This record gives sequence, structure tokens and C-alpha cells, in this order.
Amino acid sequence: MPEDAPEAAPDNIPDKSTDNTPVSNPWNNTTALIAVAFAFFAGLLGALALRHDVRPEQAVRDSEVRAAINWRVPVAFGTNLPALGDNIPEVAESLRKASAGRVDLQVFEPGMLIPVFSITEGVRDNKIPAGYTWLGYDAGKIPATPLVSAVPFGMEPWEFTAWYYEDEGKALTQALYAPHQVHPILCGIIGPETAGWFRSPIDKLEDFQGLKIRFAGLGGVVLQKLGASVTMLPGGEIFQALEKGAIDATEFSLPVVDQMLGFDRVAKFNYFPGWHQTFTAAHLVVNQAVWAALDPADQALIEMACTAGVIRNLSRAEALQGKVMAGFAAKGVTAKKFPRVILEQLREVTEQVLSEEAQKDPDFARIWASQKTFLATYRLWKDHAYLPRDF
Amino acid sequence: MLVLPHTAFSWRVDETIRRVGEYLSLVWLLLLAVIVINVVMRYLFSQGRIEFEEIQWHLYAVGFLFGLSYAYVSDSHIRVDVVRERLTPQTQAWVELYGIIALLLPFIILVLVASVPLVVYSYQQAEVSQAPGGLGYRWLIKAALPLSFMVLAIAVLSRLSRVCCYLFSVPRALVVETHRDAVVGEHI
Repeated sequence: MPEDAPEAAPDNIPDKSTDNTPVSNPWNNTTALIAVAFAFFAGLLGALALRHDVRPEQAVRDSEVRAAINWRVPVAFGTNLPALGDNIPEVAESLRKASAGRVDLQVFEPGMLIPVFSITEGVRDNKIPAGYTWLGYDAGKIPATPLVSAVPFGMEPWEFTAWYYEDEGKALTQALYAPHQVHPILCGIIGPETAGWFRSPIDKLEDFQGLKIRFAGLGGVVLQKLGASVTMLPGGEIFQALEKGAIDATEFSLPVVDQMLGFDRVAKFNYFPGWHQTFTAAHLVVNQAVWAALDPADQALIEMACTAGVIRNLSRAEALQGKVMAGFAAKGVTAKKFPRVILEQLREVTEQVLSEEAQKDPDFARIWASQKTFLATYRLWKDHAYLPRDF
Repeated sequence: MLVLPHTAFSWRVDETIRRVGEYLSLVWLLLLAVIVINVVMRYLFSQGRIEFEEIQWHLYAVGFLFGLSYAYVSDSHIRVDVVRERLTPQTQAWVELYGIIALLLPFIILVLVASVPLVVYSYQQAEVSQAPGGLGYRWLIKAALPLSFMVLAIAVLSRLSRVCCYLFSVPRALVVETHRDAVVGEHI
């Protein structure tokens, strides 16, 4: 502190400390007050100025050279997680390469810049220009989001992309987020997740009763209806909760991801099929003003990278699981499949939950109707064209 | 030892905050009760309740957010005493003045600026908990943040008036023993 420096600094003779000579205050009180007031307003202005760190890009744009894009992109899943998390760093890398370093998405690990569940809100407020997340995490604010991120007894990944790219999916997703000033771009997809890790087997629907379980999205609502108490935790916090017994069971993602998080060390029964998330879509969410200010060529570049990300993401997700499941026996993990009866009962409750949600929220009703209409005709093709699963 | 004089403003503010703080401390008792009920229900009756778990962090947030201003008024918050106790009262008051104006007030203003839109958005969206059995009205608990910081801002202004009174004799000191009405009258 500058004002107390004169007490000790000028002469360092120890004997003098006992003298107790009064130190005259070098500060005139009025000047000091003015200085303090000045410092206060300078600090205040400085702090407020920090809020506007996104410069309008068109200022630098001319017809020849497009402005560099440097975005900080927080992600919902750790980039160390195979398929689920390592997709967005690859999308960012391909953008860097294709643009010779001009388009640079700097990926930030979950929770580094912003809490995982607040990514889209941060994008909306332009605290961050873009983020990569699972839209279902916004369900508390936008109830229809699970329909475009993971639906129980829903579409298979390529059915979803068919609805998204070729039917109304893309337009409906963008319309859903338009009032929130967010522009979502489908940027990754994986197949079914495991239906959860349990400490003891689930033989009948009643076994869900009283179970404290981490379960995302609409599937969680279904289990809640069946008497489980369902909680939401971001991926990074699940293992600890499971190990400490704060939760009895959990679902999170693909076997290769769940194994990396260590669920198999605590819960030995891994259930299938992934009825609650037949596909899991991830989106790059971009602030609408930021997106609109982009050059159309840059928009096309980013869309292209994301579309490529979707198929690469799905390919990796499909490729990695068999090997992990082959190693289950050595780890004492039992992979079990729900019997058909339980699945049918779960589907019944799912229908109920979806109808209730549709009644509560017009956006939900609109998107669900669109998916059902698409599936009604797609079904003809699906039933005829594909071999039976057990063939 | 720095003893700050009270001003008419600080006297009234501190009294109010202290009294409100004492009532609000009942939150901790309530929190304790909820935790006990939750544990008993889950481990004895296998009945987990997400509502009860969420109300725990709601209560905790209310307890410590509004506890901030109580701690500030009663001067029971942490100071770096190894340094402070060696300074003269005059210097302590100067440090206090600088600390309030250059650090604490700007921080409070930043929190207010950042948190109000959070509450407004949550209210507009009628945000509810993500957990299917969780609590609704998420804006209520989010509103605790700006509200508690507004109370803290008032507490800080009260302290600021006391520091200014000590250093510059403006505003005038209040003689605590004097009858309250008389003093108030004198200042008006």
C-alpha cells in the first residue's frame, strides 16, 4: 500500500522503531479523495469495457481478405472422451486446415469458461460466440430440445439425419432457437447409448422404484414416472457420485465413454438396448448476430465442416464399441438386454410422457408431429428394405 | 484498534441488516432438518426425493448469500490480520476506503450487472429444474443473487459512510447514547 510506505521505507535503522515519532501524512485529504474517486470510475469503466470484447467484424472486411475468425468454443463433453468428445476438436482442426489457419475455433474443456449446462445461455448473451453441446441440457428453459437431441424409442441416427437434412428438422431446430438469438448447426451424432449401469439386475419395471439414478432427457422423465428419483449431473461429476453412493445407478453415453469414466468399476450390470436415446445429436451453437455477420463463404465452410463431423462422429462411435464390450467379461461386467416385455412397457410410458409434454408446449407438439409424419412414410421403406436385426 | 464512529445512516442500516440476518439464520436449522429428513427417507424407506435435494442447495444459497451482508455489518468476515494489525488506525481506515471504493463496490456492481439478465431470462422462459422431479420457479433462487448483493451494497455504503466520517468528518458522527429521534431530527 503506497500510503503506509513512508513509515518503514526511508530509513531502515532498527533502533528508530521505538522512537514513536508521529509520521506526518503526506496525503492531503482532499486530493486523496479526488484520486480515490477517479480510481473508482476508471475501474468501473474498465470493467464495463471488458464486456464488449467482440468487435464488429465487418469493420475489417473488404472484398479480398476476409476477417479471421477466432472463437472460443466451450464444449459439453471432455475432448478425451472417444466419439462423444473428440469430434469437435477434429471439426476445429479441419476448419483450421481448410482455411489455412484463418478460421480458428479454440476448444475449451467443460467448465473452463462456463458451466456445461449454461453453454447455450452463454452463447445467447454473447459471452462466448459459439459452443458445442447437447441441446437437451436446455430442457429446463426450452422443453422441446430433447426432441432434436435424443428421443426415447426415437429414430436411428441416419433416420434422424434424414429428417434433419432432407425434411423439416433443420428449419424446426433453427426456429426453436431463433427467439433465443442462437443459431444451432448439427455437428455430431452417435448411435444408441447404453441404457445404464446398475449395481443389481433390473428384471421388472418395479425395480426402478426408489432408485436414485442419473438419467438425461425424456428417458429420465419416463423413469421418474416409474418411481425412480432422477437427477441430472454433467459427465465429469457422475463417477464420484456413483462411487460415493450419492446415486445408485447412472446412464451417460457409449460403452467406450462410460468405461473411461470408470462406471464399470462400481456398477457391474450394464443394460441394453439404448431405448432412451436411440440417437444422440450434438450441435454447434453460434450466436445469431455473430453468425449473421459472417461472410457467406465462411458460413458455408463451417456448415460443411459440421456435416462432415456428423458422419465421422457416427463412424467412430460405431467402430469403437465392440472391442470394449468384448472386454466386459474380464472386468466382471455383465452386459444385459432388457426383455421385450419391459421395453414394451417402457414404450407405453414414453408415449404418455411425450403426449403430456406436447400438451404443455406448442413447440414440442410441432416438432413431434413433424417427426411422426416423416416416420409414417419412412416406416414403409424401413420395414421393407432392411434385413431383420437378427439375420 | 480502529473504532469507526456510526453515522445516522449507518446506524439504521446496520441495525436492520443485523436483525434480518438473525431471522435468516433460521435457514440453517431448516436446512439441517431437510437433510435429516432426506437421509432418513432415502436410506430407511428407499424414497429419494429430488425436490428435497434441490431445496437443500436453494437454502444453502440463501443462507450464505444473505449471510454476506450480515458478516460485513458485524465485521465478522475474514481480514488479512497479520498485515492489518500492524497498521495505525488512520492507515487501516485508508486501506478500508481504498478497498471499498476500488475493489468491493466495482465487484458488487459487476455481479449486479451480470446477474440481473440471468434472472430476467429465467423468468421469461419459466425455467424449471432439469431433473424431471425437480423444483420449478428457477428465477426465484436466481433472484437471490442480485437481491443479496443489493443488500450487501447498502451494507457497504453504510460502512463507507463510517469510514468517511472517521477520515473527513463528513457525514457527521452519531453519538450512540443520544436518543435516536433527537439525532435524526438534528440531521434532517
